[in-house]
Amino acid sequence: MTVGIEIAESELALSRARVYGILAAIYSKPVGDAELDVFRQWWLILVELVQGNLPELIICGLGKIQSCLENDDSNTPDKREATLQSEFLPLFRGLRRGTSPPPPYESVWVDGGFVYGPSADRVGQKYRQFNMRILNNEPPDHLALELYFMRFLCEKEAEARSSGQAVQHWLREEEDFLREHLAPWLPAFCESIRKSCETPFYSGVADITEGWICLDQEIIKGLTETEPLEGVLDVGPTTSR
Amino acid sequence: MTKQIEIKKTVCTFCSGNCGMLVHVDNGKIVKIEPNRSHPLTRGFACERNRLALKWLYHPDQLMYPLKRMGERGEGKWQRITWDQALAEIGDKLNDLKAKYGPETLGIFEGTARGNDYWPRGRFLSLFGNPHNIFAAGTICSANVMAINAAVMGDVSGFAGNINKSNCVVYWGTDPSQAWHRAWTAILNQKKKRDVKVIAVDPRRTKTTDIADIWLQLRPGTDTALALAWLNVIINEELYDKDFVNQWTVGFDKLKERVQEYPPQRVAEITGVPAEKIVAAARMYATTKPAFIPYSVAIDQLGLNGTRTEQCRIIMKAITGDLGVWGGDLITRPGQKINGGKFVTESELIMIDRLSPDERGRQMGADVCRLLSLTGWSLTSENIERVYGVPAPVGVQTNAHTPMLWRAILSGKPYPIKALIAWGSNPLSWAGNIKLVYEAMKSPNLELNVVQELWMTPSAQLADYVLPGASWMERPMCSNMMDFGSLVVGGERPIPPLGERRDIYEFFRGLALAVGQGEEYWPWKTLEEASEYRLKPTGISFKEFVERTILFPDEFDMQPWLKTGFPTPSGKVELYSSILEKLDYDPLPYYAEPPESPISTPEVAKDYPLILNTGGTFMPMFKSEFMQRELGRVKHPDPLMDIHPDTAQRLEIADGDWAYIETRRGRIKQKARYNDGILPNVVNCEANWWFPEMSANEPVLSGVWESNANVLTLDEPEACDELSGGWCNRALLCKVYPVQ
Repeated sequence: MTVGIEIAESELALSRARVYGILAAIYSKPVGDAELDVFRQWWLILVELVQGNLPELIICGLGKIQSCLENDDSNTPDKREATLQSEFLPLFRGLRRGTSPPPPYESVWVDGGFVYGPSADRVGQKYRQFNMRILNNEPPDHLALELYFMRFLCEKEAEARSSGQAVQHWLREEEDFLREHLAPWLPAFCESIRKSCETPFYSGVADITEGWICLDQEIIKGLTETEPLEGVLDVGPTTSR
Repeated sequence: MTKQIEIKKTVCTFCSGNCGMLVHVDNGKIVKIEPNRSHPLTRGFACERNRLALKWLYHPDQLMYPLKRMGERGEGKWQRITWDQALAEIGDKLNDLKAKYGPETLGIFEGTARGNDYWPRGRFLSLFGNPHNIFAAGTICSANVMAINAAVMGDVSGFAGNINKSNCVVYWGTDPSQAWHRAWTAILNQKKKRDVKVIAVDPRRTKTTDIADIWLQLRPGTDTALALAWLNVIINEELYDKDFVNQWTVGFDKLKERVQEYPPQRVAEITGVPAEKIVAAARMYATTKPAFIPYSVAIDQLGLNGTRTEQCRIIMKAITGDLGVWGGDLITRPGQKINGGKFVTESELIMIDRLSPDERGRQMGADVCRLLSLTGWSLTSENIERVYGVPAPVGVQTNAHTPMLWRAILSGKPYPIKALIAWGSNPLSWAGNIKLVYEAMKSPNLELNVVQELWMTPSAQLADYVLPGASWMERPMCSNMMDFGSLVVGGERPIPPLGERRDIYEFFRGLALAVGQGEEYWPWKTLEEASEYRLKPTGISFKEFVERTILFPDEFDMQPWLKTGFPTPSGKVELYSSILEKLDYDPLPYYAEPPESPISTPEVAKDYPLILNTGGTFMPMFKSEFMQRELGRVKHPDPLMDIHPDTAQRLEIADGDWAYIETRRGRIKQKARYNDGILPNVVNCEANWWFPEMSANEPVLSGVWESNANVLTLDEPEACDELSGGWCNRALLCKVYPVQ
């Protein structure tokens, strides 16, 4: 399957940055209903990005999220917010040992089960390379921070494009970071979320995250090969499940 | 980028040993921990816990952020909140409850915190008007020992010695091979070098009993009788130090009369130890100079007989002349000068004088277990203050009565307890009779339950707020070891707290400000600043202290009583204790049959024919810590019950089989470990088990009901130690049968 994207390159980079930003925000803290509404709009960006030819995994995820947002007596905004609140910490902070996955630190998933492992060192070094500082003494390899960093890289790429500078450097950083730090463990993590979560929302988020990381790797690959872009990008076969 | 490793000096407080450590920090991350070979006391010692320290610190289950309960207690539904929100809400609730029920309605829970900074919670309570309703594992772990030491001789013994100089060491209810590695290494080395005598008192065979010259295998719970028999031998055979007895003791004649009730032959019948062995051990102890009896926690957990055994041991040390000599029992005193000035003690910071005698009398249990309460402390402290110029250690020498607490929550009597704050404490693991603990913690009568913790423990799971605490690698320490003595130990903060963890000072200071105590009472913003304040009279800065890692008193007087007398009412060691008499106790030690035994409750013994001891640690487990599978359970994954092979085979339990252990309070399961060195009618269960890898939610609660021996233990008030309120973890009745 080929996905056609007709979008200005700088806008494409910004849109990708927004997708990373949304995902990062979702993994940072429990989302309220107002935020969910904003996020829904951003998902439209995603749809626009690939002109409706979304990978099945993302379609599936969007469907799960949509089902969560439909109001009825058993799913009012208040109830939804409370449910998402109580789901968040066990899923993303390791607070329900025995029934939830280990928390989403790259080190925990890649380096043998402990935080601040070698992966965290490498990620921290990468952030320092770009003068980024982490607030609240959070380990640098939390999923949310790694997604924020991807947003940062995409924004830098967009800035470069807008000012007519070369973007290969930024594309390479994006590609490397995804390959080295997110792609190796996200599928396993997302699978564990799907198994552990009680509401479809976070299952949908897991689908979208996994689908998006694959898709974006393809987008970057396409951008790298076709640079400079002529306004139309052919993205190769996307992952589907 | 140049790699720059910083090396931070501090001490480990995984146990109470305070071993000097060098912490290597790279860009805010600890990359290595090594023992500090130049530390003057510990000289490079490290144990398995230190080797696990990095995995412990960076374990993904450690708590990082403040949490507020969303669902029911135990449901496992939390929301992350800010510290500001948490403190504001908790402060408002505390003020509200104080207005309705009085300041005594708050109870503070603590475990073996070992940061040695007990004063912030004490100061908070004094200013809150609370009569120090502190419910602590200390009641069955050394606080009672400090209190009886204070009553009998004013000084503290049992915690400091020098095995390298001892010619006889008595391990009474302790196996240092598992509990105290530094001491174990020392005794093994000495045993290789010379003929140091070792006496072991233990109902089961251990590595320590294996190296002992004499092993007294007594019936559990009969330790006081055994100790009184030793005194009988030592006194009747005139093996005591007559000069010391004449000059520095009172009440010898009354003691002599009392010990006549405990001749070795009679005590042999009580304890099951042959009379000739009792006599031989007493003779060996009294005639092999110098001799040392190190502290052991098992004694504190005997219930009725706990503190009385310790009273006997203090008397033994005194009358044999083993106090204050190298190789014997060193005594420790607070308030000695360092560099010409006195380090500010915990007791001074606690501001207990804010509480009137009436207010102190409101402490839960002050009229029951009077010695360990503020009532007893007030009597001992006046002597200590007279001699040393500082109050007696109030931080850890007084406890409220834990078994009364649960009943007070449920019944409102003697007064309602509506709020609990636990810091580094998991009572669902360590307290006795935890079914009652659970009932109280779930009760709607308890309106506020706050836990500051490192892990989501079963107790934390039942809290309304869970706040993340800082470990020894994330906070500084500058401590005189809870006022035990005048030595100052500690070090710098190796790294800032991970996530949003806070050290105990920052926590209680924040809470104090939230309830309106005012910054004037809490002028130091950090523990470092508070440490500077405490050091100021010595003229030594915190920075210099860190460099030195330890501060010694200007004079180390081995026998200070020669100048000042003992800090007791008589100025002497009170073999017949006037303070106990004033508190309406028998001033002399005596033996009481355990509240549950084949002799005291034969009808119970019909259904529960075996004697149960709970306890006995294994490395690296400490109290209820290191239970994570990846940490403390690599070599020791399952809880073990020691049982004699003959007994086990009769019960059709194979070595390594899971077996149920049941008392009148409940049932648990542990794996049988054959031990032909345990009495056939005795089993020993490991204590405090929980399984962090299991679901934290109700009803599982991290497996706290599966194998925790405190499902079985006895905390009925009448079974507790009258002096301290200590409950019975040892000498219980049980039955054992296979798990089908």
